[in-house]
Amino acid sequence: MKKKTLLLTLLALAILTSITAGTLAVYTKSATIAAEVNVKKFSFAAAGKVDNLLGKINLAPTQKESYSFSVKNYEGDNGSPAEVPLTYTGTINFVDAKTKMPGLVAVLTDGNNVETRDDNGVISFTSTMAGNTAVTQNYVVTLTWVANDTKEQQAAGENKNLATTGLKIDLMATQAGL
Amino acid sequence: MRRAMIITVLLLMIMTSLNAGTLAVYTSTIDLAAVPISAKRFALGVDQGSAGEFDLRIAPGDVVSYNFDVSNTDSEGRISQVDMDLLVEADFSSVYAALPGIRVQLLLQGAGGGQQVAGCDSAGRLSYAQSAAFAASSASQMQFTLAFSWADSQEARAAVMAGRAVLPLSVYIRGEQHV
Repeated sequence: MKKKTLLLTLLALAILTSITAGTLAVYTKSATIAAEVNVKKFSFAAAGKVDNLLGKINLAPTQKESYSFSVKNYEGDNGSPAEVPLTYTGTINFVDAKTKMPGLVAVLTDGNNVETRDDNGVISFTSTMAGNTAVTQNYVVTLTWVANDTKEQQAAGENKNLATTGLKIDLMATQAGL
Repeated sequence: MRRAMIITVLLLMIMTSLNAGTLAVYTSTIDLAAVPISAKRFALGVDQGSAGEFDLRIAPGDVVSYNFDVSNTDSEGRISQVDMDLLVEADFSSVYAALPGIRVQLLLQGAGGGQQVAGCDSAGRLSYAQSAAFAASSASQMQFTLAFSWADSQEARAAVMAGRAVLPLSVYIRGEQHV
């Protein structure tokens, strides 16, 4: 018991000493090392547009429109890329539009022509980008209003239903490799 | 062993607190501008005139007409944004049965007057269909005339003598998105 108490006391003293700083010494010598610490660059950008001249998504049953977007690990056209690898997740949400236009479906196609279909108005996806290399990843979201001859579709056309935030795409990137 | 463990843990705690801060990583969030999605407007307008215009009175030898207009605009003048097929159907079988010799034709009015586009069969049924009758986003109107002509004959006069007949008339007009 006494030994334990002594040990703990010694440890506490060691902590207090290091916190309050200063080294007990006799001879001393100082040297200054000059160096730089740089923060590694992190860069993440995205942009998109509707693939028609009007820039609008206006559909009748059986029709389709596409929205293309790209994701980059650099700014502008020639910016230097992120110096760390990154992972990003994306969410494509058109739930409101699907409610107002029953039968609306979406397919996400990536640069490798891999398709992901919506699940009740939401598509989630993820990807990675290497560091120190400029990477652009392209996607296309194709919205199709599948005709089902329902009164709901008829009403949507007569009322010209509108979902003001019909297509929403959110992206979040985090540093990878940890 | 237990003492060694306690000492090790304490040393690690000291090292960690001296070495600084909170462990953090880079993150970035982008929300692309939301894109509105809308349904193309679908509109079919029928101007069937007043109730009196559809109250036709005919005798043998007469020709009476009923006019109606079909358009691709709704009651507020908003134009359909899709091409539209048109279907006009009517069942005058009760009229044909009651008024021997009567003929009903559907005429489409144009620059040169009314041109027949459909006529009733022997049973009195009429059907007219036109694909892409209306173009998207272009307001247009089609003027139709149902022409009832009752040839004078002994059978016709006999029907008149049998007493006044009131016969129902109904016309079915359907617009459908052209695909």
